[in-house]
Order: sequence, then structure tokens, then C-alpha cells
Amino acid sequence: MSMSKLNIIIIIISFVGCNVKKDTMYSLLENFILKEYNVDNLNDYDNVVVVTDEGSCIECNRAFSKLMGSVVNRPDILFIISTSGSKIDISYYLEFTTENVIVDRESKFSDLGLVKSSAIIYLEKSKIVDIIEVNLDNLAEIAELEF
Amino acid sequence: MVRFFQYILMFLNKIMRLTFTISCFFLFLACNKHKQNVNNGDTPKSGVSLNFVENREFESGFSSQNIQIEVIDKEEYICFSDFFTSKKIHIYNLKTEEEIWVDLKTMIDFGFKIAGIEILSLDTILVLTQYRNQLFFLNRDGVIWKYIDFNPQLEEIGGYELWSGKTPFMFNDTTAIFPISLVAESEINKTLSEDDFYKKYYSGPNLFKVDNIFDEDLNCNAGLYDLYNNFTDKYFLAIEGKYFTYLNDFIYFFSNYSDTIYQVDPVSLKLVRKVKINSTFGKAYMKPVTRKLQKENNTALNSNFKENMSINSIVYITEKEQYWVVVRHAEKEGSNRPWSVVVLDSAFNELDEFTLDHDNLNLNIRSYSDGLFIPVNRDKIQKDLRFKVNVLAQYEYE
Repeated sequence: MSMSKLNIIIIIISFVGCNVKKDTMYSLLENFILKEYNVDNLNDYDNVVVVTDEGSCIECNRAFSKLMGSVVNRPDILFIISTSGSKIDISYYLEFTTENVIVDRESKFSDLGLVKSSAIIYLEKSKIVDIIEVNLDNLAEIAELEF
Repeated sequence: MVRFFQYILMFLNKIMRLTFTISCFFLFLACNKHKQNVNNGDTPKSGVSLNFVENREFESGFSSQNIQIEVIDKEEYICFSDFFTSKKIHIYNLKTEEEIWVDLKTMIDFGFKIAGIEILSLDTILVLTQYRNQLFFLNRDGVIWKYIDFNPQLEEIGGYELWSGKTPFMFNDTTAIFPISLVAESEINKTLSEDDFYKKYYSGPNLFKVDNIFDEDLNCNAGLYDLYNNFTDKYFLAIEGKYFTYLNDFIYFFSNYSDTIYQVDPVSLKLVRKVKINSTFGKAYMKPVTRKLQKENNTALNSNFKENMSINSIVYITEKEQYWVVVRHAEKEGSNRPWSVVVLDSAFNELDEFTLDHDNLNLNIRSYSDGLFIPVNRDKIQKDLRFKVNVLAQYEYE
């Protein structure tokens, strides 16, 4: 392949790449998982499930952790388990050593300030399109969600 | 003759050098076993000095702040519990170093939430469940051999639920004393207006005593009415700060919302004494959050807790006949949360206040017969062991 053809390919790739704009929050998330956990494939996931013991409703976090534990084998969901496990049960995730489970027992994820409690982060085309934080009012709805 | 004196001088010189070397060696040993004088150098009024022994590493398989010292057949055990992820109790004999793990997985996976445990013997482990008001009796294999449902009695006294105290709930081998809270969803309370509910909450009982926990016909009664009216009023939230500790044949109550320790008679369940705690670091008290404020801003309770000082715990030092009151200070950026210990004599006169290295040590101090165990802060433990072991600094009284 000549140099000129290679340059054209690079320009095309750059153009396509630039068209997929990453938002700030997405970049924050992407950089975090890369830097802290060496995970570089956020694009492969449709959703990120964050399990934490933070927020005003610890029972909601507990229920959410149990609920999400039942879908831990879903390859399209990235799980960030950001808690020591001393206040909520995270045993469902510790048994799985698959690459879609990040166990952040030092709770470094909370420093990002992306969520204030356990949450589902919806991703689309390198963007965060929605974040649903778990609370007492929406816990029942979350249990019914199909995502 | 001159040569003889020269020999004598040389001999004495060697003796002096040897003595100096030996002295240096012992000085070095003494310095290595560092002494923590609790008054930062001067002779403390409390007469207490702590010698650091070592950092003890307990290989529980999990890390926990749920730490209890239990005496079983005159032997002391340290117990670590994890009711959420590992679902185990690790019981370690401090003298023989024998250890067992009690598995709670079946109970917890079945849906029981655990409020607290008491270990009366290795085959009499009492497990109190949260919200359901049931007390289970387990053996070391985790097999339930008895259980008590307190719901009928708690409904009868007005719709309450059982909680665990700091010590946590056995006053002696047969008497259990549970802190209780009014339940809004209870049959008897769910028709009350919010104001009527809180009126009942503040004026109602705070303790539930069972004199004969092993008998078939239980002798129960509620007491310690009107407690909150000692330091707060009906507009404040009551959900935070309801701590009970059983020490030295008395019940002690304290709250984040009060700078005072309340001594309660275990027979009458009535308040008998108030002891104000004066810390040199500030007022050990946080202004309560009102119900209205909490509704408007649900992080108000958390901020209040982080920004203020409060009483965290009380331990009794049998050897010195002293009460040590642990006071949690306001959070400081860039370091672990500071704390100090106010020392009271047996008549509750304040003797001293001292600090320990709060950046390394957690305030959850535990007293045993020869001294103290103080948890080492998690961020100071080797990274790959942080969630597998419990590391406690062991101190002995001088």
C-alpha cells in the first residue's frame, strides 16, 4: 500500500471518528475504567450498572444489588461494583470473574461524581444518554425494566 | 606497680565500654516497644499509659467494622461479623488462637437481615433479625435450634421494632435488653397522622427487656419513656443517634444530638444520671436536622454528621475503673476522621482527654482484659489484603 493511500485511509478514519462525538461524562467514565481497571472497551456495552452503598436509601441499594446480580451474565452490561461490600451484599459479583464486572471496593468511582447512588447508565454512540439513580420511588419500576 | 595500675585501668575501661554497650542495647529495646503516654508527655491525671504491642492480623476472609469482644467460659474471644457479602462470623480465641467461622448464608439468603449477634457460648449464638423482630439461637454449625418471635409483645406495647445496641443486646447471661423504635407501618400506628406519630415516638418507650430469654414463658416489659424530651423536641428527626451500651451493671445512652451521657437503671429502666462530656476539641453535639429540612434536602443528615462532633462510644476500663468516652471530631479534608478519648473516673469526674494517631487508627476501639484493640484504617493496610483481613493495633495498659 502506497503512502498516499494510507494517508487517505487515516483521514477517512479520523473523519468517521470525529463524527462520533464523545460527551464529557462519557469520557470521564471511559478514562476512569481505563486508568483504574485497564478496561478499554466501553463502546462494547449498552448499559453500565453501578452498585454503590452511597445515597439516602441504603435498602434501595441493597435491593438493586440483588436485582442486578441476577443479570450479571449479560455481556452487554458493564457492572461497576463500587462498594466495600460491608453494607450491601456484593457476593453475586465476586463470584464472576468475567470482564464485564469491575469490582471497585475502594469506591474510587464515587470521586467522579457521576452518580449519587446506585444507578443504571444508558450508553449510545459514545454518549451517556440517560442515568437513572435508584431511590425509593423508582425501585419498583426498575425491577420491571427490560434493558 | 605502674604496669599493674595500667592493667587495672584497661580492665575498667573495657568494663565501662561493655556496660555502655549493654545499656544502649536495652535502651534500643525499650524504645522499640513504644509507649503511648495518653497525655502527650506529662504524667496523665488518669494514670493511664498505653504500650503498643503489635498490629494483629486476623485472617477472617473479609474485613469488618463489626467487632465484638466476648467472654466465653472465662476466655476472651474477638469476633468479626459480615452480614452482607461474606455472611460469616469469625470467632477467634485470644489466648489459644483457635478460631471458627459460623456461616449465616442460609439465613441471609432466605431473606433475613441481621441487626446484631451475641455469642454466649460457641453453640449459643443469638442472632437478632432486623424488621422481623425474631431472635434465632444457632450452634457453631449455623444450625438454628430455637427461635423467639417478639412481634405479639411489640404490637401489644404500641407497634415497635427491636434494634441492636452497641454492646449489642444481652445485659447478662439471661437478660436481653433491646433498644426499640416505633414503626409507622405497624397496624396500630399506620392510621396516625405524622404529628401524632412523632408525638408517640418521643413520649414512648425506648427499651424492651426480657428477663428470662431461655424460658418458655417470657417475662417482658418496656421502659425508658420520654427519653428524647431530655434534649430535643418533636420537630427534629429522631432516626439518627440512638445508642445504648451496657457497661458495669448499668445501661448508658448517648446520641449524636446530645453532649451528655445518660445512665439508666437496668431494673426500673429509668434515667438515673446525666453526665455532660466536655471535650477540649469543641462541643460534642450536633444540632438535630428537622423533618422539614430533611424533606427538602435529603443529604442534610449526612452533612450534619460529617461537619460536627459527637459522642461515638463508651468503653469501661475495668483495671483502672474508668470510663473512656470516644468523641468523633468533624471531618478534615486530606486525612481520616480525627477522634479523641475523654477519660472519666468511676464517679464520672473528667480526668483527661487524649488523642491517638487518627490517620492510622479507627475510632472503633475495643477493650479487653489487658488493654485495647484499635482497628487500623483500611487505607493503611496492604492493598491486596484490605478486604480479606482485619488488622487491629494491640495496646496494653502499663
